Amino acid sequence: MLEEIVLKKEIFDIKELKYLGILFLLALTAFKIAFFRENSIVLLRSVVAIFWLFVVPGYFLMLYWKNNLDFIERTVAGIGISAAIIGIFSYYISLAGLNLRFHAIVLPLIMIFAGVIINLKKLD
Amino acid sequence: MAKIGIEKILLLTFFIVMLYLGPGILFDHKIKHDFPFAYGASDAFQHQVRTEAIKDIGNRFEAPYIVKGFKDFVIIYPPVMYQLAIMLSYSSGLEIYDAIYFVVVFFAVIAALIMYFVIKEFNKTVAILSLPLSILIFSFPASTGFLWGHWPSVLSQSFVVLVFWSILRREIKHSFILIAIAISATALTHTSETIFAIIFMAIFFGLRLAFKKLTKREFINMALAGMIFLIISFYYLVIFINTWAVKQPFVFAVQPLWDGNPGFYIAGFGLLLIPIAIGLIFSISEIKALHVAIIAPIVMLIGSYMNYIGFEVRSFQLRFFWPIYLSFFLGFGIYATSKFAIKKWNLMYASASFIILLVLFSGIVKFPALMQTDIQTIPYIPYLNRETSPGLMSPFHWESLSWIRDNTPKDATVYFFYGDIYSQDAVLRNTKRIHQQVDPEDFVKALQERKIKKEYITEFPGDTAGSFYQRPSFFHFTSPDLPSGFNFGLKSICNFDYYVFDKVSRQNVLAQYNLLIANEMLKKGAEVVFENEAVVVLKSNNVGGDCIEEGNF
Repeated sequence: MLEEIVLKKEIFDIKELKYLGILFLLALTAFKIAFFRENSIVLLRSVVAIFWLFVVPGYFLMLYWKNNLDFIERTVAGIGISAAIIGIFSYYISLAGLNLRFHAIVLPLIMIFAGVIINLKKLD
Repeated sequence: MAKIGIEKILLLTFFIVMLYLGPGILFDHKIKHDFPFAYGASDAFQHQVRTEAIKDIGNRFEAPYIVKGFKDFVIIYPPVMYQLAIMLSYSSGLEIYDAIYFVVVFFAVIAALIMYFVIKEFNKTVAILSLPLSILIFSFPASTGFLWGHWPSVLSQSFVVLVFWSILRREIKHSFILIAIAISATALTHTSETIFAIIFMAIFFGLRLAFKKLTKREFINMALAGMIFLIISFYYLVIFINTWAVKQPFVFAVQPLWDGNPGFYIAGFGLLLIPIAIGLIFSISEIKALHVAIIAPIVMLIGSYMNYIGFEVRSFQLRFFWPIYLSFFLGFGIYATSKFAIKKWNLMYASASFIILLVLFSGIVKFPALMQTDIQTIPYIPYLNRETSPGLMSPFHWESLSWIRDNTPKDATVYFFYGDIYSQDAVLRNTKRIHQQVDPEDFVKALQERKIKKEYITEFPGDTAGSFYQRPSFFHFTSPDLPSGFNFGLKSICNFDYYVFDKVSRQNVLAQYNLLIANEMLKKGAEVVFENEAVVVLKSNNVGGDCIEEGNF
């Protein structure tokens, strides 16, 4: 039943996930134009990193306000919110002892997971 | 097929143009570089090296090579910028020196887009007209914020714009979480911007109270946001209150000019001041609307002039973001004055104006200067006016610093003789070794006297803005007294493991004197361990012994 709920359009708007994909391609294009002297692999890695750290976690966290804000505004503000949360909590879990090399994996995962759970609870 | 709106095309165009003309030019259209690129001053290296150190040893203590060899001095700098840079470095594979610069620049671009959404809520046409001005954060003198390493302030101001947006969206459910996160981010990135964010909120909600528009829900939301902010920021605020607030307390002072820095003064907007002033006047007349888009730029403009009441550098730093903050006035001014000619703005007119403004500010057309004063060049219309520059660091110096870092024992000590760039002493911390450097004045004096000496006046450079703190307990911080002559004084050059000599200099005679000293040390048993076109590094084989023959030449 959980699976059914998760796969419902209300939580995972397939259309918006497609928009995220389009946004990724547009960002890659923008980066390719702006940094035309850069190696394509470096560009790809950089854009993937930005999306992994800031865009995707921000998108999932901001899903809670999907009915209040349009996709573009939610995504752009979500980048800032994600950076704020990641920066702050990375500091604290580093002080707690978790090696910094794992933060870039753990924190976005936590935020994506939190975004999904919060949205599930909202629907319930 | 989904309809692609003109607005989305404009936003994408702006994003591409700003990336191209901003970080694109700044970084020579590359993301990855062989050395710290476009680093223009010591502070830039200071933040880069601290990030490297945190990546190596964690957040609690400064690396010994940053704080003159001590191992238990706490990091007092706000952490967010460093954490973001480290995570981007790990995720993307970029070196720290590229990742940290990219974080600061990228989020400035995002801030411009967030400001668009703030203004859009007031009027979409005004938002479209406002957006192009943001590009000028990459023009001189605003770009000093990037080039000279005012990175924590710049990144924190990006979060201040996020505060504006979160206050704009205060009506959505649980908005207090967004508000708290945004304010906390400012506090943990560069705490002085938190003061300005709080001033904005105080004025905004104060006006709402004065106009009897403050609701109970808003009050509760802000109270909750405040509590969450204090919980999130508590640990760092304890550090801030016991360190920065002690060594840089508020003192009333009038400081009209930012001495020693290319500050941004309002005349730098040239003829744009006309629509900006019109926009400001219309804004004040619309203040009863109590819109964030109106109040935020007014407050930040006031904040930028609080250098007249003691805020000094903190107010001048706000001006790096004037092209973003004041963009609303420009857009509103153009919109309001053109209403006489254009009765009804539509998206086509707005788009055409957007393109025209973007072209004007991009530097495609280079307008002459209106006037040159002692303080600044006043343009007709400001435009992007910076060329790509590699900055202070050269590949040869980077190679030598990296060689020392990678090939010497971790407890080795390094002495730097004269180098053109070594006055920006944070550069030297890239050796990741305890280091000291010759005082240039004493070096020149010895040269003029034609002396080779065993003792030179020596500087022991270090960070945390000149004072260090230990933390015996959670609320207790102490600043140790260092012995007289520890930081600066006459010292024997024979007590170091490695010596760095620049072979080239803008003043050739200084480089020649360097090499003269190096040759004398070689006669006494030192050996060359590294050399390239610009630098030679010697290793002492007699630390503490007789390393050089004093005499005249």
